[in-house]
Amino acid sequence: MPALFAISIAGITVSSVAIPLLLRCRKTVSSMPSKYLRCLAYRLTVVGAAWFLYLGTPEPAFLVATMLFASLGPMECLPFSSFPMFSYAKKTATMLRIEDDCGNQLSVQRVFGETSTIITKTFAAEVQSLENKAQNKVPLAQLQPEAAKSIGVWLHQLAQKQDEHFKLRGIRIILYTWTIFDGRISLEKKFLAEYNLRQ
Amino acid sequence: MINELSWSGAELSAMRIGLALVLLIHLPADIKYSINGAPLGLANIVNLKWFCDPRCYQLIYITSIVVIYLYATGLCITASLAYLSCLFIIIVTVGASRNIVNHGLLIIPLVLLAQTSAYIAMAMGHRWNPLDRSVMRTPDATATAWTLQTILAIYFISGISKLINSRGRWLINASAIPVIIMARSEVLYQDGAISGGTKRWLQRLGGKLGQHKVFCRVFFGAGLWSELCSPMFYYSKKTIAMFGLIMITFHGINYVFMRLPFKSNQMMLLIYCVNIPQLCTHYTP
Repeated sequence: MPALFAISIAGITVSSVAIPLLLRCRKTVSSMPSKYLRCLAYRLTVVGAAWFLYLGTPEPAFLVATMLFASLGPMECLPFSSFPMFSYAKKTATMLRIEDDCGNQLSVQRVFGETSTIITKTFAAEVQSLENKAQNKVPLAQLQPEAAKSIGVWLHQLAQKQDEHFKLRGIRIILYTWTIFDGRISLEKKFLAEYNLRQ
Repeated sequence: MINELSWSGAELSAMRIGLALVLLIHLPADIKYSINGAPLGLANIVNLKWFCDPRCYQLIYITSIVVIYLYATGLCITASLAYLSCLFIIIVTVGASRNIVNHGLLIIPLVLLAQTSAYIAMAMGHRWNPLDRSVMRTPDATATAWTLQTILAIYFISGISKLINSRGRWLINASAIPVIIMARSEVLYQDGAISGGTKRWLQRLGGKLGQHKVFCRVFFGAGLWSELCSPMFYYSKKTIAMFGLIMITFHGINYVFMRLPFKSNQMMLLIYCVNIPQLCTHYTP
């Protein structure tokens, strides 16, 4: 039994080094040692927990499955994922409101063929990408309008594929941010960009 | 002492047909995504652009339907499962390679992988029994046992990752979930998924919940506890059925508040954990 445990730990430790290398995550491994150590600690924690659970289960498959999920750690390596849905429960939530040039909210799925969730997530990814590209620390307020412009271009391309785009003259992108403080939820609206679809 | 789980032939057949239906429902008729600079998982090491080609995917789609049919009828099960595992891993990877991970679909390739591993292990004659516990099952029963453990592991990892990502403060932070309800209602309204009346109702609900921190922690915390306790339900078929019903309710509540149905998860829970033929046998006089 201890031999199996030692093999599990060794396997997980090796995989925590090999998998990021295999997935070309060298930046994560070399330049962010603290993040990397956290990944390792995560794996060891889960393997430890799985081991104790294994003692009470009739088959090791649960352990194997848990190890597989855990061995890939916080870095998304599909289909193995740490399943982080609602894992942060942040005090703020955001969404992109898309309006036409007259200020009417658009039914985005009909007009662009994509859901608001995907548009908001793409916007967040764009902001993250700009942040990564920047040499120095750039304030979020500066990055968001720039990311919104890229989203505008992307939405224009999407609209061209749909029949509805002929009715549109332009789109306005507004960031809605909800914040909870002391039991009260407040909403902040921030205009980010305007995009002319007749360009 | 944990009971040794066993399933009748009817239960195993129902599970196989049920999984085939889940696969058919979730097999996309066309792939509208492409890998565009944000590859994830397998897309990091293999070029998957060929998969996004409509003509190529059309061929894959037709082949996949034939393979699902073969699996449902019990023919070439191991080969069918291996093919379907690869297919759904690629579908999930391609869909997520835009920095948008759809967690609702992840359970499908994981269950398929677990079943493939079980059939391969059984075909190779291994009983995988390092602690000398005599577990002698048919390949179908082993695949079902491994599938159940995979489902339980998915929920367990979900609970663990909540604790790790929030540094153990998830229950305290759970009082902020009403903010997500507010944002989600606006998103759904913009998508045309809910009416203006429903949006206003959800926003009023979010506002009310936000004022009751303790209630939020207890209410949403129940989901976390269920996830963390998921391995303990692997005791008997009845406890597993109970877990299935709890988690289906949990997904149902998520649907009411945020329209997050996690259809594939609910279907898997219904097929493998609740196990409808078992319920029918139990309640038939």
